[in-house]
Amino acid sequence: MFMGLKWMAAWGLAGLLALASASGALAAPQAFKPHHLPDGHPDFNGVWQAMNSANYDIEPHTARAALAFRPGPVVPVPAKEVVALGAVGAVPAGLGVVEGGEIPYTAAAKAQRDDNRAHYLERDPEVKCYLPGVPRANYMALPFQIFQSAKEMLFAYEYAGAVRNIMFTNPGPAPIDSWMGQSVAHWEGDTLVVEVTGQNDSTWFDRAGNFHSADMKVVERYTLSDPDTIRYEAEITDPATFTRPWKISMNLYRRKGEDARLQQFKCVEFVEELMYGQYRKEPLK
Amino acid sequence: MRPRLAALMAATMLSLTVTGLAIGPALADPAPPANAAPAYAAPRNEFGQPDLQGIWTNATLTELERPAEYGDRLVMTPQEVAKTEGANAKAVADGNAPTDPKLKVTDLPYDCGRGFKGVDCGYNAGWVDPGSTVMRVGGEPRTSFITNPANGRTPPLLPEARQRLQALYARYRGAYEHADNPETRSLGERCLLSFGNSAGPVMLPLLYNNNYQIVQTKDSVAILVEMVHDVRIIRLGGTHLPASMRPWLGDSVGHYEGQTLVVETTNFPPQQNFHGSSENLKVTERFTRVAPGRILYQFTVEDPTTWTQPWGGEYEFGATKGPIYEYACHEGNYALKDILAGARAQEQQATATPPPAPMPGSAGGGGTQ
Repeated sequence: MFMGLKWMAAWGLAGLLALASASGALAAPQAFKPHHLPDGHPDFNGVWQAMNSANYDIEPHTARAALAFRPGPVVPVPAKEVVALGAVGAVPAGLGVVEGGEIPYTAAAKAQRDDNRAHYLERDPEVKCYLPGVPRANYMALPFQIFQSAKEMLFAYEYAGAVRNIMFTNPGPAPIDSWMGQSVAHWEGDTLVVEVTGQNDSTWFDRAGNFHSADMKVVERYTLSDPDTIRYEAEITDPATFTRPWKISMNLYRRKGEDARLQQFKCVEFVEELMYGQYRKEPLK
Repeated sequence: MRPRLAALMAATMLSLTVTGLAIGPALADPAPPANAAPAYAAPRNEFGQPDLQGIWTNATLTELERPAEYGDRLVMTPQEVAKTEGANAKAVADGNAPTDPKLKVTDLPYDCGRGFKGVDCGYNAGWVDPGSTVMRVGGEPRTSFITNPANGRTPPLLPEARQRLQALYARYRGAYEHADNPETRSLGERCLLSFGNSAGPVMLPLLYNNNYQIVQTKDSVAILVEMVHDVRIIRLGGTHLPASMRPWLGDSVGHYEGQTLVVETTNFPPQQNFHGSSENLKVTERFTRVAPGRILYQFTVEDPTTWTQPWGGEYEFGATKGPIYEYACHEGNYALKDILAGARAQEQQATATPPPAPMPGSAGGGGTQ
């Protein structure tokens, strides 16, 4: 803000007017005009990824030693199950992606969130490689790919091979709740708006115990702010859990060149020892 | 949730063939089919590509391999079609009949059709949807998908392949049958892939959820497979992954030839054994729109360290209605835990008391078909 004022003072009104005239729009910020597909809609094809720590905790947080703790003689220390990971198991800091900073939980839901956090290892669905739900899928540590044509749109996520079929014709209420829900989309100018309903109550928002009920409705807005950045917003409505609707927002960045290839992370296999190891004929010592 | 179709390491080559449940064999260089040069002009999408998009199904009563009774004959007579489709309609009607509530599980018919026996009869007609018609290719009712070799069967295994598979079988059979470990159960039970070969490649129908969604972009093709929500991502152009990278479903690279999408897949993981294949497996698929609502799907399977010759075949996808629903397998996989835990409980009982006489129809700790 300070720089802005200084800049205006230096250039003066004449300078501003000249600039506005050059850009052809008086005072209004020049909106980015994205590349359009032949059908006239902005082109979201590509591999995208958040570059924040929202999957650790969507609320503002300083770095902490681990995802799970137990009481120590002085301060809580990393839980036995994760202590071997050392610095690799620590949680990086983040400014958070919740508009206003704090999730407006009801009192009971806030207590539930805190309890979830205290029982992180047993409860986070990501630990068991369960499908992540929306919006969490969009800001995990792994990228996702958008396939978009005039007829179809599909989001394929590297994590757990999760997938969302984005429908532009509303089939009516989802016949049954699912992990990734039902995504019904429409265009508002160059913004892709996706309403997600029919999600079950088993997914979380992050690794910090933030959760929702099966009544949650998510309205997502995807807008290209430059050729390689999507401004992503999601409004969460869930009166059973929150006192009012609330929003998250963040950038999703395009992976380019050799990075623009979705890899495979079918983690079901990776959690077999965790989930079934105790049922082996000869459990490992 | 017994091994039903599943089957460790391709039970087929171990002559534990699960009849009626296409586990997914293979195909060969299709002889140029009658409709190779279709008069039909495939619609084009906005990128100028032949438009394959939409939701498709390959559900059918025809199987990959031809029943021996047909010999070298690829096309069914109208009488054979009526018999096959009629028998299926009767099986569906029988399956839909109410069950006598006084019957106990052990009173059910030992074999309740479609390969289900005993307690597995709980997986009844309400669950399965394998298709109700014989596969038509260019309108011809077919006896098998495989067109090459002419007998409609996978070609003989090479001695080295037989040896390799026997060694695998010897190593893992016991662990499989006694549910020693999660890793020795089938890929389907572990929710790593569908049972059968739904996502393939070769993509083959099985007893339900034979639905696929194709999305085409300028530089790739995505095929959403209902089973286990697998997505095949096919890059257009470029080279295959290094040999050290072997993702599930292999590595698919495609290109367009006229009206046809051609996809070559290599780099299969060793666990994804297709009818006895090795790491040298290469599958080539050709997708061609041949009529409104029809995609001709042709496939060639090559593995010079497994079979005496390449083999292949063809079928058609038919357009179907969506949407495709979520098949969240792992999230509800109580079965794998229960299979393992059940086997442990049996072992405990066996050491604690004299072994009880096995109940007829009980799946027991075994898992044999």
